Amino acid sequence: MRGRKKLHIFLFLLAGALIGVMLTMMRLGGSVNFKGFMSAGRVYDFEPSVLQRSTKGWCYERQNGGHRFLNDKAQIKFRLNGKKRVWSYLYITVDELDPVSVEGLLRYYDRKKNKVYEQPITLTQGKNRIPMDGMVPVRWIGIAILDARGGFISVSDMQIRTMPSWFTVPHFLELFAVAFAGSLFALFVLILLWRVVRNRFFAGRVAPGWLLYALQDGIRIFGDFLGRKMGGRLYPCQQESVRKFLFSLLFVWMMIGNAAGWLTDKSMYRYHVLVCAVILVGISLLSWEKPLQNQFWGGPLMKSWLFLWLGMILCDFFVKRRLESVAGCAMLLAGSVFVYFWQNMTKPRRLLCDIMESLEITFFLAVLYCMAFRLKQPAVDYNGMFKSPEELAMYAVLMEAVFLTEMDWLVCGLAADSRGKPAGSPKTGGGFSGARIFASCVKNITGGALALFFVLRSGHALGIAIFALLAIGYVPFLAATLFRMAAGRRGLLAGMTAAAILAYGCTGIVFVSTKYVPEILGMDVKYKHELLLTELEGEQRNVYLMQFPGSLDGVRTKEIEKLPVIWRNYARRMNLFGHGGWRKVFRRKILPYNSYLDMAYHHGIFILLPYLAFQIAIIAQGVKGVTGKKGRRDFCLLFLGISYLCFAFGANVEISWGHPFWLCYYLAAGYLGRMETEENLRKEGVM
Amino acid sequence: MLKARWSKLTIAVFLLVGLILSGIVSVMYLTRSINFQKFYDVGNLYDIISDEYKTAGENWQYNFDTKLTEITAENARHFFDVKSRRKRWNYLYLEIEDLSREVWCEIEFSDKHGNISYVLNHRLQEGCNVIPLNGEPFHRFCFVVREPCSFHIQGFQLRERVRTFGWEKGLTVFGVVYSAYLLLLLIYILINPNKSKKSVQKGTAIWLGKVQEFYDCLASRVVVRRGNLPAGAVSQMRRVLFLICQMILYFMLVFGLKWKVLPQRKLVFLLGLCLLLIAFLSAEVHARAVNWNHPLMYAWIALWGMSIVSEFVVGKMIQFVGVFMLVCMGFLYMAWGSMKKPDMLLKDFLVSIRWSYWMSCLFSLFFRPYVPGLRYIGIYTNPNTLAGYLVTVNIAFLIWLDDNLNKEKLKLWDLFKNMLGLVSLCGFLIMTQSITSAVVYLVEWIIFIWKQFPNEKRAAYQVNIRKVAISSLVAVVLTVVPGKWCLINVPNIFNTSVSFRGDAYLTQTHPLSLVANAAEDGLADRVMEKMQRGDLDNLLSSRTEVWRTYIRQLNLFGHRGYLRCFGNIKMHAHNAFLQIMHYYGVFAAVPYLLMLYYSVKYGILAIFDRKRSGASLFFLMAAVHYIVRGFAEDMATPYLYIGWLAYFMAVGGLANQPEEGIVKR
Repeated sequence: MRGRKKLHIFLFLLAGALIGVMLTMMRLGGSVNFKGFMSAGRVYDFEPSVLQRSTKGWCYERQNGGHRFLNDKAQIKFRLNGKKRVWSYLYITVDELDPVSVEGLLRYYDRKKNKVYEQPITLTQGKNRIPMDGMVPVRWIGIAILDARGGFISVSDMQIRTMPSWFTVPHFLELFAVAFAGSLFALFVLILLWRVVRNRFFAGRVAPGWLLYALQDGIRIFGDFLGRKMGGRLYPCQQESVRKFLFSLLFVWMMIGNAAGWLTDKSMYRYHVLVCAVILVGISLLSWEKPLQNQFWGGPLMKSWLFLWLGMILCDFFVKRRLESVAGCAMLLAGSVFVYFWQNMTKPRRLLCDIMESLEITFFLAVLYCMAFRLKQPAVDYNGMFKSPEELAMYAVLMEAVFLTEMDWLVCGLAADSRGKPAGSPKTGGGFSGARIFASCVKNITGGALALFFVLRSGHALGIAIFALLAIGYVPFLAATLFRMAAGRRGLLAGMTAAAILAYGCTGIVFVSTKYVPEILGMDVKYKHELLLTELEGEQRNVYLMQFPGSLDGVRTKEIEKLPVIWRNYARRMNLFGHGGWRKVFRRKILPYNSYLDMAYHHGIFILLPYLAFQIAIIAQGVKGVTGKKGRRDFCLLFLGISYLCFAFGANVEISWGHPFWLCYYLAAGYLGRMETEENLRKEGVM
Repeated sequence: MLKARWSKLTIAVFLLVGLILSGIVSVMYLTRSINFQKFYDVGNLYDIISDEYKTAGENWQYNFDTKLTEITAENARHFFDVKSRRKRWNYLYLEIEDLSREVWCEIEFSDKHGNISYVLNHRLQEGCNVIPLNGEPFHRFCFVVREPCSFHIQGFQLRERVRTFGWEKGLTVFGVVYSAYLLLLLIYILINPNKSKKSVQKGTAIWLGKVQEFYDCLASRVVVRRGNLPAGAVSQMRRVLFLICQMILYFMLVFGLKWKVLPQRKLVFLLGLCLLLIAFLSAEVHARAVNWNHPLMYAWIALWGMSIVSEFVVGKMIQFVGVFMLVCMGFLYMAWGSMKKPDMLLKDFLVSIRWSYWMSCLFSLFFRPYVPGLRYIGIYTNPNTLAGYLVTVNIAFLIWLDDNLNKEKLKLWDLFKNMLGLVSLCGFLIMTQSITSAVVYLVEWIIFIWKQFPNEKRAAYQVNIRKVAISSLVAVVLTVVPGKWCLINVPNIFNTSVSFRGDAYLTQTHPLSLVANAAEDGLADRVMEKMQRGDLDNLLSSRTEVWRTYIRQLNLFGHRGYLRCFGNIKMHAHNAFLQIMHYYGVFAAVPYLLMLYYSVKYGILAIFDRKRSGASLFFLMAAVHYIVRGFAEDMATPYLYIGWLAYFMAVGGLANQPEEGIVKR
């Protein structure tokens, strides 16, 4: 009950905040517009790298972070968003300016860079708003600074738009504070009113969870019928084998779909998702053990699960998308079936183990694939089996969580054995032989080392940070366990050391293989629309290209400094029911690199309610899974929750049905939901 | 009995599947192309419809008596426009019969500005004249016959590829393939005499049971929440909800929302919500056992299951039909079946139809004037659609009459209201001059009168018939004299006349898209004119051409939306059966046909079912209305027609069949 109360308070505050943001944006936009709260009009943000370009008159000094004017009529030209359009305002944020104020000209150019119009401007330090002639269509603009030879300017931001911008952080915060308080009050009143109405007219009849239970009824009826015919005819060991096979197949299929570009192909995506959903339902039916029983889905986790997918489907009634909400439907149906079956298992941890083992199998297969087919190009971040480095980083983090958990189970099992407790391995419940300890150490430590290798190779800073965070977070637990071990510590440490040496060798082989083998064998595989990134930028890149001409064709510089601009572009377009497709920033379609913005942009701002609630519920249950009285120590799910949350801030983590990390994260609701059910039963005194 | 029925059903299914399968194989063999996107893969075709060469040209006349084209002088000319988007053709096929003598002709091909691109000479012969073209694009061509003669044009076609087979060969191949199929089927039955029958029966029954169980669970959860509401309030709420449903269908059709994805989704969502609410209001858990274990429901579920598959494979312009049917309609059927008095729901539905009619009358009276010389379109944009709506409403009025004619104390005001409805409706129908709907109207009356035969000798009936006659007379006077005058003049007096964007007489760009002009002497004149010409094309207003276009495009998983007919006009198939095959693929025809057959069969049985207290005529009438109108009009496109809703309500009423068989009166 306490958990539910906390959830309600959290949702109350979050809803208040979201309504507050909505109202503030509408106020800033100057109109009540649910299709775009900001009513921002057309906006084009200039790329940061463009603002660091040198011309004859403007010389960029990297050490000072600004331009030096080289002549009395120093001019720089900027290409706009690619189409000939009229614009009304140019915003230039000047961080530094010497002299204090400069006079200049704003020039308008057509497609062939013929000057069509010019107007005088004055630039000062701070945010400069320059009204433009809204009648002259323009494709290029030029800024010519007059009589300021030797002067210095540092432009941090430049933006051109059709509507004025009233947004400043302090102004936004002021408005937000008022709107937040007001919306909280309004919500409070509404809740009170609803309670009165409910008690007066619908006493005892309104139970919000009935929809959840109706869904469970459906799954139970068909699940029992089909499950008896599939899972009911298999022995547990057969069930395990088939499950592992199907999970491996599912993960491989998802990775293939991602690499083949099916996730963005309108005609293929639905078939891809259908196959995934069928496999998932197949796994569920094969896991049938006994007649199904309805579970407790009234907790924060399962409620947010349902509302998240329902919300996504609902948005499709208001927004036309290129890729229909197949993902949401498949997750609501197939995902719910899986979660329900998992929660009904006598030993749900068995399925968790199967998932982890399947991940391990597919990981080692993927490593072999990378060794043979995926070349690491010099100076370019490695994509591994995926299409972008961040996806590889996510995969590496996922595998780290798996191997750490496996290792922890081994260590814990040994510790329990050493204290005479019959804990054993959570998989088999059996004891440990020396060979088994060594084999397990080799597998987990080599796997962990390879995951570390991949995450470093991906060069994804956030991924590396999360990897380190998880590893550091686990160290105290490992140390405590080792400290508690009564005996066998030396054997374990010896095994770990030997395994570490072996892992080092293996990683070395993978390192060398990915560098040379695909090229030697002529089997290097390149994906269509692959995202190749390099850390080299500006002069470094030019120097490198002088040494290796053409080696960075199609390779982009990392977009870390562009992130605020990208986020701003997405945040500016937030609305009630979302949009289809991706935003064009810097003249090309760019993903938002933030899953909250991604969800809010695609499914409307209020999808964040169940989305955030789900994230928090996963972490909360994950913590209980590690620290609970039962001593489960299922780090995997906690790590998954934490890493997903971290990735959500700076990566495109919402890769629906295209990444094992995404799938494992959402399916974790099955295991953690079961914990919720058990908790509920304990509270009700049944267990 | 049960065993026999099942074996018949299985055989029927196998035979129908065999027919379709043989058709596919034959066409694929004849066209030498395995193409599941389009079985009849013979390249592009453009048929010049008979009406075009029947119009007079320079020295070119069509004699409707002899059915011959007569060339009265030398160098007779007739222009033909190529209305198709495709302008590049390789062959011109001209099938000639009764040619008086062989003559030379010239064909002048011109571009869009009317400049002649090239000219071909050809000696016109009896039989099929194949004229190879030089492949250059052309927008129109002129047929110049040099000498006087007469002939009958059997077919006139532009083709991309050469025709490689004719009807005779096609039928022969089909016969061979179908025979082979039957032989294989026979062998299979001989090897497994019971297997298919058992598995079909058992499998479908179990699945249906599961579906029912789920609906039952859902209903039981809802009923707990709903509590006990007063029956009167429930009834009123149901009527309002049904009325909203009808208004949604109306808006969808009249404002063209069916083609706009987002408004369509929202309205369908709303429609589904209304039906679910009706189901929630009506469900009475465990009040009555619901038996769906019969062919009608098998066919119904199979059809919508196939539509879901088809929609998954081929995106549709009109979406979520299968899901809508299985989730919303299915749940409504279940809730309806579970009611102690299921007729209450049906009566509410019929009341809501009558309400909608009175509302539409008021709207027409004030906003949609009748213009003499044009077929009346009323609240719709097309006279045929209005006629379809009227014959649906006719069912509601006839059923009221049927239910009340035996009452000893029949309220005169209610009777008068009903008769006014029937008479005014008839008046509107005559003004629409829709032949298909007139046929449906007649059939509905025949069914109604047939149902009255056993009552003829009852005293109350005799008294009520007299009351009916008197009130009809008053209604006729009211309708014909002030009613018609008001319809013509009131919108003009108050200047309240409105027109919709798709009004038929505004959009009549193509002579065959729709005949909006009325025949001078009304419906009878129109019918007589068509009958006298004795030409199928004319009788069916060139629907045969539309059917041909649709048949040529049949495929495995269906299409996205309507096809372009007569060159460039998007239109429905003008046949429900073809439309269903077009939407959901050829095999959807099997469950669809079975559904139609069993709805008629159960509809007839329902009349004799003594467990049904009232409105028993509805099922047969709705089914017959759907089938007869569906022969020449669009009844299959979902979410548009109130007749469509009425038919699926009838299916819902018939969904719950007693397990022991029909208990006869």
